[in-house]
Amino acid sequence: MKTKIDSMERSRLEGWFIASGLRTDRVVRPTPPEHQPFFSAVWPMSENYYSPIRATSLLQHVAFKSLDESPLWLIRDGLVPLLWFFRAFPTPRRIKTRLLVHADFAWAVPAAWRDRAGTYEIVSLPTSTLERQRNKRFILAGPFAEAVCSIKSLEASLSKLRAAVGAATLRKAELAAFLPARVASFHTDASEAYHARCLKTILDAFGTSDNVRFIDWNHLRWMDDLSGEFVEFNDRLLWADNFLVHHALSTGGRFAGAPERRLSRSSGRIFELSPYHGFLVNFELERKHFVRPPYEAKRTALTGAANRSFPWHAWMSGVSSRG
Amino acid sequence: MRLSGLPAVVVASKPSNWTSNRLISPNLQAAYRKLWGDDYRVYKLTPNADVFETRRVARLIASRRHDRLIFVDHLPHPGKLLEAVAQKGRALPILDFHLYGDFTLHLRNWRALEPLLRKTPVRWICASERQAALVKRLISGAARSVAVCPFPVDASQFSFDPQLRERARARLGLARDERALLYTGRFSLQKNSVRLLREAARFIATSPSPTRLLLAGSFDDLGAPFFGVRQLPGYYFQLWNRMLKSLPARVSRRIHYFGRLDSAQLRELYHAADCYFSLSLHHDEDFGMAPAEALSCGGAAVLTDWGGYTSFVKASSVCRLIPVTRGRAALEFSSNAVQEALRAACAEETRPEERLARASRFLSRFSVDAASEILRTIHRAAPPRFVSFDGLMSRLCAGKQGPLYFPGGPGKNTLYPRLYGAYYSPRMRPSEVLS
Repeated sequence: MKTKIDSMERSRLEGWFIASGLRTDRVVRPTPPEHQPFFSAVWPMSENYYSPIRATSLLQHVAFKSLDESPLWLIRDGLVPLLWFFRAFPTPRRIKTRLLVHADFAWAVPAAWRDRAGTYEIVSLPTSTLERQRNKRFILAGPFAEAVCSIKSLEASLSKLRAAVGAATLRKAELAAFLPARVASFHTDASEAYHARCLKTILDAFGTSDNVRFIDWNHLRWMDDLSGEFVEFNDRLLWADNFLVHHALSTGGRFAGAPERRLSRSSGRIFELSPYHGFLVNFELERKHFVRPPYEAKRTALTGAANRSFPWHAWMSGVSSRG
Repeated sequence: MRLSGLPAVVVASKPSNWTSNRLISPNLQAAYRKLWGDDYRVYKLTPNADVFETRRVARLIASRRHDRLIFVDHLPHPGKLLEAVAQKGRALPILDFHLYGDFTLHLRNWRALEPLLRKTPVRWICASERQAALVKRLISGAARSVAVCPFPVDASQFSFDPQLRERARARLGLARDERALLYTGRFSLQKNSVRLLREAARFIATSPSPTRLLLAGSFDDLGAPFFGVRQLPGYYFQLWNRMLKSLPARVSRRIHYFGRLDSAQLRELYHAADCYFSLSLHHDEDFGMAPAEALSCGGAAVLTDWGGYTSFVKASSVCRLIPVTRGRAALEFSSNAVQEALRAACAEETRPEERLARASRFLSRFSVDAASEILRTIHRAAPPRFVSFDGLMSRLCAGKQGPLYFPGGPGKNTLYPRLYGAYYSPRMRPSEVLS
């Protein structure tokens, strides 16, 4: 066996431990301290990950001009910050960047931004050969707060799941629930009973506590097999690009109850994030997105806990006048 | 020979987060069951046991006057439990520690135990000769206190079945003259997976016989904390994917990724494949469960001559090692050596009787039965009393808290070769490679 390495081969040698130049600080912007309560509330949905498209939160661009640092941004925020941001900045002014917003909220992009906006969605890839635990194991995860997921929203998603999977199947399934509790920052009669009512709704759907396990972050983070059905405890009003979804899907999980989706060239461009999932990106907004804002969606966003829990007006109005 | 008192085994009450340990621990426990039948006690402790649980188990252990205490799992670290047992006023019995790859990660915890261990008979049971060599560098007068017992393979799951090989190859559509390389395990910087992909691609492109690369496992981004390399989740997949996409289509279509598989599916892949291939240079590679399982199924293997991988050569004539050396900035090995080893491995005889003979020979050293016999020999004699850790231990543990840290890589730190010099090829000096 040869032990000498010729000069040509030397150049091919890869130092085992030397990762290439892509480091955390190049892809993730620091969090401004005044917005820390928001990022704490949405953690760990807001955990950083490596994205081929530079991902950010609009709260990290209160100076607005910083958006010009990248020609393309994937906006991780949910509907409420989006609405406030576009209220503060109804036009792109002179910046040259393009913003990708979650496809569910494309309607929130104002007319002046339309040629500088696109959409993204998190999708499972059809290439997966993994034999998954279909309808046998469910993972429900998200910060346990009314601002993140209202009872109405939880009931709606569980009822949709029941319709897709069958109530009996659901009650027999195993559920791992990661629900780190958050204290409500504003107080109503409803918020006092929120956690108890949510747990009742979950246990009603999944059966008794025998098949429901409550797990912690450490457990979830190091679970290397999440090949079950993932239920996102998040109505995406605060945060849309959820790290918990990436984590579950990257280890073989799928969105619970979602039908297999055929992805074609016309669906958009796929950016793979793992062998099993990726972003489906459309760099342009489509005509179907140019609709009047759905009244009910906007009302829910602006009257609910997501809007009332944080001083959006102060955060964004101040920015507007500075901008 | 029976021991004078009742031995006790301490195990974790919950399976480890680390996949290999979820296999190793039950197999080691099976080896002890085979050795002692019901004549020993098992104590369970949760990996993050609180002081009350630790004291409860310590009270039970102290009340039963065991003649020896064997720690089978890597977590929880035995420190707290031993302190609690010692507080009961009893002298500690003989202590046997099965050591894992994370031993060096927990050096500070071990060092903190030094006063308690002093004058107690202690044995350090390593999974491989290279790990034993590493541990000996850290313990004074370690010649008799360090033993080797390989982590056992469950032969009821991993042994050669000629029919299964036929079925598995048919299912994968592998032609008779086609060769299959296989990697199973984590896809990670720690496992050198991108380099593996590149070497396999080079081999597929140049090999005279058609070859495929089969891959199973999940990606991680643990980085290389020893060298201060940290990664964001999803980063390593991007590196991998970029490499995969850069390959010509005639090569990339011969690469198949199956994701994370259960042990029955892995068994099928081990049977279908001709050669297990791993280029890991990970510091926790004290053994190598995946190559051990593959070799138990009669296949060949091409592995880096690093850590525990080296021990497989003793029981397999078809396990080839790639010499590893410490370069100026990194651990290195020759691409030509990899190609040459793959060529030789793929030229090996694939007749069922040959594979059966190889599998049997390998399992004669690495099965649960074999481990049970090795443990019988080990436990026949009492270990010497522990004196102290070596000065190298103090130097490694000096300075900042947390795990060991070699900023700048292996070439720039003099303590690195003093510790991990035991893990790479002794026959190859850096000057031979860098000239």
